Amino acid sequence: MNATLIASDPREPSTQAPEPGSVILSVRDLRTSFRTERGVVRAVDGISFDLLSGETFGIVGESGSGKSVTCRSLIGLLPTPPAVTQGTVLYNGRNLVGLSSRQMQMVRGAHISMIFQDPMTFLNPLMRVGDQIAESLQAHTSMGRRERMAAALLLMREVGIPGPERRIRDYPHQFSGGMRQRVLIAIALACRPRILLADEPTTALDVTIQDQILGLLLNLQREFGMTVVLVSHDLGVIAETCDRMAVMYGGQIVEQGDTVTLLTRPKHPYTQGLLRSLPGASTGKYLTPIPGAPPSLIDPPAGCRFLDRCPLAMDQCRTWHTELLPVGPDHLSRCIRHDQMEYAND
Amino acid sequence: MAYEALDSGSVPLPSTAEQVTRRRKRLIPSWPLVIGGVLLLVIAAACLAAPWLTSYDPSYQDINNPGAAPFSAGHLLGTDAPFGRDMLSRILYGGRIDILIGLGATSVTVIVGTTVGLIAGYFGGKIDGILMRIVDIFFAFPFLVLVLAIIAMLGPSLLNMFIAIWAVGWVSYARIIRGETLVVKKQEFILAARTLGYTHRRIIIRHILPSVISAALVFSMADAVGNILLGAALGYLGLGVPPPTPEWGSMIADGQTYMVTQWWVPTLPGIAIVLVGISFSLIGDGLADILRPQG
Repeated sequence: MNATLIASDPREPSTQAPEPGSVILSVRDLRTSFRTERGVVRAVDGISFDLLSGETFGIVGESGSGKSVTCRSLIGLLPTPPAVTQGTVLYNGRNLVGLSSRQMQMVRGAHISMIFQDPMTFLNPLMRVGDQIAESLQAHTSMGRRERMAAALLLMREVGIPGPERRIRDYPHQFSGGMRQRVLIAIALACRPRILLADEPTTALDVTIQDQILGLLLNLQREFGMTVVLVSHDLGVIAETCDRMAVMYGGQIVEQGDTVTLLTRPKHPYTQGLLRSLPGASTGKYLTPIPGAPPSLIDPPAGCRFLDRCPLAMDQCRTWHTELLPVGPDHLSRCIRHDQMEYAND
Repeated sequence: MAYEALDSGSVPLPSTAEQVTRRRKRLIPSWPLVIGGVLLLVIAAACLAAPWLTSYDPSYQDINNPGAAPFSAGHLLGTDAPFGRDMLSRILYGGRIDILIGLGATSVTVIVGTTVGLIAGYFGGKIDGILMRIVDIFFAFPFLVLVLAIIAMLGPSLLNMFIAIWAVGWVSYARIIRGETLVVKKQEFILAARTLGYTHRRIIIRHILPSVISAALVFSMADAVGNILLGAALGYLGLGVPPPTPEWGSMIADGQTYMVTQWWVPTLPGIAIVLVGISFSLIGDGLADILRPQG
C-alpha cells in the first residue's frame, strides 16, 4: 500500500480533536449491492451526506429502505461476497471503503463503534459482562488487566448500571433488556470512539426504557463530544434527539436537512406521507397511510422510486434521473415537484 | 377431581423442603461424571503407583510358577502362561501404556481437529472447501485400514502408533467443530465482536471456541475409549507396542490360547480395558450433561 495514501494511523488520535461542527465523516455516493439468485439487490444506491462533529444525525425509513445496510457499509461489516460496497467514506483523511480488514479492525470499535437493535443476542452468553466490556480495551489499547477491569467498572457506572461492583461478574442472562442495552453501550464506548452508529438502539425495548436509553445516549454524547448516527424507523425518536436527519426510501436518501425544517416543512411527498401517518401530527382526525408498498430493489427501473405511491406523480417523474435538489438552506429533496408541496405542521 | 371442584388456590404448591432439594440437586455435578472421574483416577493412580503396589518387574519370569491361579501364594492375580510373569504387575504397567494412548493420542487429535474445524467454519469459502475435501479423503477410507497402513509403513512402535492415530483421528473433530462453528458464527454477538474491531484470532478463540468446544470434549471421551481399544487391537495384531513391554491388547492376544486352561491370562486385561472404557464413557456422558446449554 502506498504510504502517501495513509494520512495517519486511524488508531492514533489526530493531533487536534475535530472542531465541533466540522465534517468528521464524509460519505459520497455510497453504493452497496448484494448478488442474489434473483438478481442484484441495490440495497444502498448512491448515498451522500456529511456528518458534523458532535451532532446527532438521524436516518429514518421503513424496513428495507437501506438504513441498516448503510450503517454496516460505513464500517465494512457486510460479508463480501455477496455484498459489494463502492463509494467514498472519508474519515480522518482516508477512505474507509476498500481498507484491508486489518486496517478496518483498527477503525472499528476504537474510532467508529456501533450498537444494535436487540440487546438480547448481541452479548456473548458465555462471558461475564465485565470481561466483555474490558475486552474492547484489550483489543485496542495496551492497558493491563487491572486497569481494564477498573475502566469496565467506571464504564458500567457511567451507563447507569446500579451496583456495578456486584454486577461486573454477572453473565448477560442475569440482566434485563434495558440493562443489557446499557452494557452494549458501555462496550461500544469503552475506547471512546468519535462516532457511534446506533442501529435502532431502542426498538426492542419498552417505551419507558427507550426513553432512558435515549437520554443516556445523549448525555454520553455531550460528555464525550461524540458524534451519533441514530438509525430508526420511529420518527418520534428521531425528532426528539437529532439535529439533522435524512429520510431514506428504496435505498436512497429522499430528503435531508435539519430536523426542525424537515419535519415542519417537508419537501418530499414521502416525508409528508410519513408525517401524515403519525398519530397526533396530522391535521385530520384519521391517520393517512401511504398507499402501496415499497419497491423491489432488484434492478430498479430509472426514475423516481416513489412514483407508484406518490400523489404528485407525473410522466416526467418516470424518466427523471433523480438527484437531491437544494430546496432551502441545508435542505435537500429528491423531488422535481418540491415547490408544489403544501404541508403545514404546527 | 371434577373441574368445578377446583377452587382457586387449591392446586398444591411444592413444599419448602421440595424446593430446597430441587435447588440442591443442581449443585451436585452430574453423577456419571463423578463416578467415571473417580474410577479413572483410581485406575490411573494405581498404574502410576505400580512399583509400590507390586514388587514384581512386569518382565520377571517366575519360571517355577507359570500359569499360577489368582490368589495363589505371592501372586495376587496369578501369573501368565507360559512365562510365569506376575499378572498384577503386567496389568498395572500395561495400564500406563493404554491410558497414555487414550489421553496422548486423543488430546493431540482434539487440538488439531478443533483448530482445523474452527478455521474452516469461520473463514468459509475456499479455505473451507480445501480443508473439508482433505477431511473427505480421510473419511473415504476405513479408519482402521488407514491406521494399519501408516503403522505398516513406519514399523510397529509406540510412537508410530501415536503418529498413525494423530494423522487420522483429527478429521472427526474437524467435522464436528466446523458444523458447530457455522452455527455460532451466525450469532449476533459475533457480529458485535466484529463491530468492535476484534481480530479474527480473538473472535475465534474468545468468542467461538468456548461455544463449540463442548461438542468436541464430549466426543473426545468416546474417542479416547476408541483409541484405547484401537491400541489394544493393534497390540493384538502385533502392530502395537513390541514385546515384552506389557500392553493390555497384546496381553489378551498372547493369552487367548490359554483361555480354557488359564482363563485369567486373557480375561483380566480384558476387564481392565472394560473398566477404563466405562470410566471414559461415564465422563463423556457427564460432560454432555453439564455442558448442555441451559436456558
